[in-house]
Amino acid sequence: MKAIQSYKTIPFIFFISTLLFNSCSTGKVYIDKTESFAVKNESIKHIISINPNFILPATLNAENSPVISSRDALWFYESLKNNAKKNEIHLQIEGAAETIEGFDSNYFNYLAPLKREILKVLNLQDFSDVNDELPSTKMIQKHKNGLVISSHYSHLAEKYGTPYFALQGISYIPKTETGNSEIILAATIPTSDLSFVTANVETVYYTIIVDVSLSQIVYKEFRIIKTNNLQKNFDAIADDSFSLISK
Amino acid sequence: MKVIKTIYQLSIFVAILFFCSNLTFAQLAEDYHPIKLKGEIPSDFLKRIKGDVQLKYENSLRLNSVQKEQFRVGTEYILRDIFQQGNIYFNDPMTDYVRKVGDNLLYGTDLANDITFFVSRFNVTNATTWQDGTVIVNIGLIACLENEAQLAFALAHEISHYIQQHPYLQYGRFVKKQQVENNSNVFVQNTDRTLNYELEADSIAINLLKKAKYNYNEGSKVLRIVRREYERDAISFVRYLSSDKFEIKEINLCKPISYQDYMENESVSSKSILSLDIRQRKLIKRLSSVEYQVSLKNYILAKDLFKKIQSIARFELVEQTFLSSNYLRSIYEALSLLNDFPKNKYLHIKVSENLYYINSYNDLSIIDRIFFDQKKIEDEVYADFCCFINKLTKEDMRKMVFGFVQQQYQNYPSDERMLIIMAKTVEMVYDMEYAKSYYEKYVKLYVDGEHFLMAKKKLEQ
Repeated sequence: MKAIQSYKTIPFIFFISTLLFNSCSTGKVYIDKTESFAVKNESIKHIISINPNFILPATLNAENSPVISSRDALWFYESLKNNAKKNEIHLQIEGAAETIEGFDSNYFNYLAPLKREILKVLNLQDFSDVNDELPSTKMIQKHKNGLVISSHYSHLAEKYGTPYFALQGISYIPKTETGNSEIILAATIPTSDLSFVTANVETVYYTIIVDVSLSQIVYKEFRIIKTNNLQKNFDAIADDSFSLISK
Repeated sequence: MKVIKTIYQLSIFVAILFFCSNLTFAQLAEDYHPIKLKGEIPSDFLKRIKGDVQLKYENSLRLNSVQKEQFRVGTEYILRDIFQQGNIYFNDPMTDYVRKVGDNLLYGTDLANDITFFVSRFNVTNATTWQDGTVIVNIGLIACLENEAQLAFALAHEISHYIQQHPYLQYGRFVKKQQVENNSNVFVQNTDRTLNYELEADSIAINLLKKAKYNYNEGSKVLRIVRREYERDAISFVRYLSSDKFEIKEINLCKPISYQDYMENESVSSKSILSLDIRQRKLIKRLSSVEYQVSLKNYILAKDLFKKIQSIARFELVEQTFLSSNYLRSIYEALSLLNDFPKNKYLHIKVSENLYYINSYNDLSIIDRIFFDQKKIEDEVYADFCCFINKLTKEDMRKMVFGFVQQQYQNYPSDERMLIIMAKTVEMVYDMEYAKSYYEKYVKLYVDGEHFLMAKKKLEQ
């Protein structure tokens, strides 16, 4: 029984970094969607965004390590909702930590397990290690079928009035220029390892959409954000992202 | 007259308790429904989601304000993450029970308002403490314990970590070490004092148990359990997984030498085993110096209540390992429970469901990704089972899975869960044409079913 247990069980961020840093270094967008998503895009009017992740370095300490902050996410939620609306998508955020909105027994019985399921499937069924096709600056790939999630989430489509559920967030990945791959990322670090996070990181915005009625991940988007003022410039990024989803 | 009335009411109350307890076991004998969280979310739970934590410690290591802030933000972030991801139970019988045992330990101390106990869905045989007073006990630990005093020891150990400020000291010493190394470019001797903290927590835990009148001798057994050194009922998967479609034969099994190879791996943490070994020896020595008191108890609460909670934790372990895609462990835990509940429908169906997913990963040729416990297995039968699954050819795996699922479907033809597993397995092993009738049956029978939409879409394709 250790005083502090390492919770490094979500290698999701490593998955993102594998996808992106096999090829990219600046301002990259990688999109992967299923053919069915492209065909049915007209019906994407409503997405449930589960517990969006927002984590940024707030200040640098004496060792040049960022003090991680997950506060001030309210503007991020607002920007997501406003830009979705601009593209005629109703984005319903469930499980927003800062406002405690959407945390009810339904969230814990259905949405939180769905989020864990998506993260797990992204990791377990990732074929990036066997598929060395590298994304270009802006790459959109289409596949016949997406990664498969368990079918017992299909009833959520009726419960929430839409089959589309998304994981969205802003997080870190290590910079590639340094070749430094040892950085432990914000989403996976235990308390005792916080000092491992160096300032040498890049910011990533991601959206992963699952169609629970098909039990498939139908859309994946990852983009590196290069800006000194994220809050100011994020609207344009979110607008571009939702316009691609609604196209 | 009043006394008779009171005795009568009391006897009714006792009878109700008796039947409640037995009713639960009777239900578990037949079926199990995994815990669904319900009711209002408790304020101590919401507080951790909101990141509203206050760390209590004396800054003995003289951390600067940035380091202190980083410790606070880090603790807040990780707790938020654990709670937001739905890893913690609330308004459930396990948390309720753990808190009652915790209350017994904290009674009469000024810590009652500082420490809050939670139960997590994690399967690791462990518990954790945070400097804000959060103590999280994993279902993996509750499932293995043998009595209430053992749970009390585990909780007392975690309380001791909090009292001694071990999370803070661990973080602080790590930061200081980094600081020295960065400034001087000199390698600093390992300052990992984890073992010292554990020994200190064991020692203080005995005092807490003694004060609460728990049998502190059970403490050394907890360490044995954490080391997985305890007797489990015999588990036989060979007969259970065989069917008329596929009979498991000697040739399918791994020779002892194979599973030895499977088990003995550099990743089996020898450091952790050594640490537990030292702890156990020191604890036994410490216990021998404590004057034994006859009044010490293994149970302060009802014994049946512990048994019920332990059974729930074991069933939850089957469910949670399944949800984490640790299908092999889920089957293994189910097989273990089947010794106690041989007719439990949930267990038979869950084994079928696990097998379906194992086969689907095998078909994708990525079965290696679901061997989560490889390199950490210390249980021979489990190692043997993992080795057997790993050794099966794709064709044999399909035959075995289909044979087993079909057999269970014959046993439970109208069960919603079994019907969809049958449909999906037939589609996977044969094709949609064969599976169609099962999906049709599901759509007809379970309009409100969890898989209804998926089944309907399959038929429309």
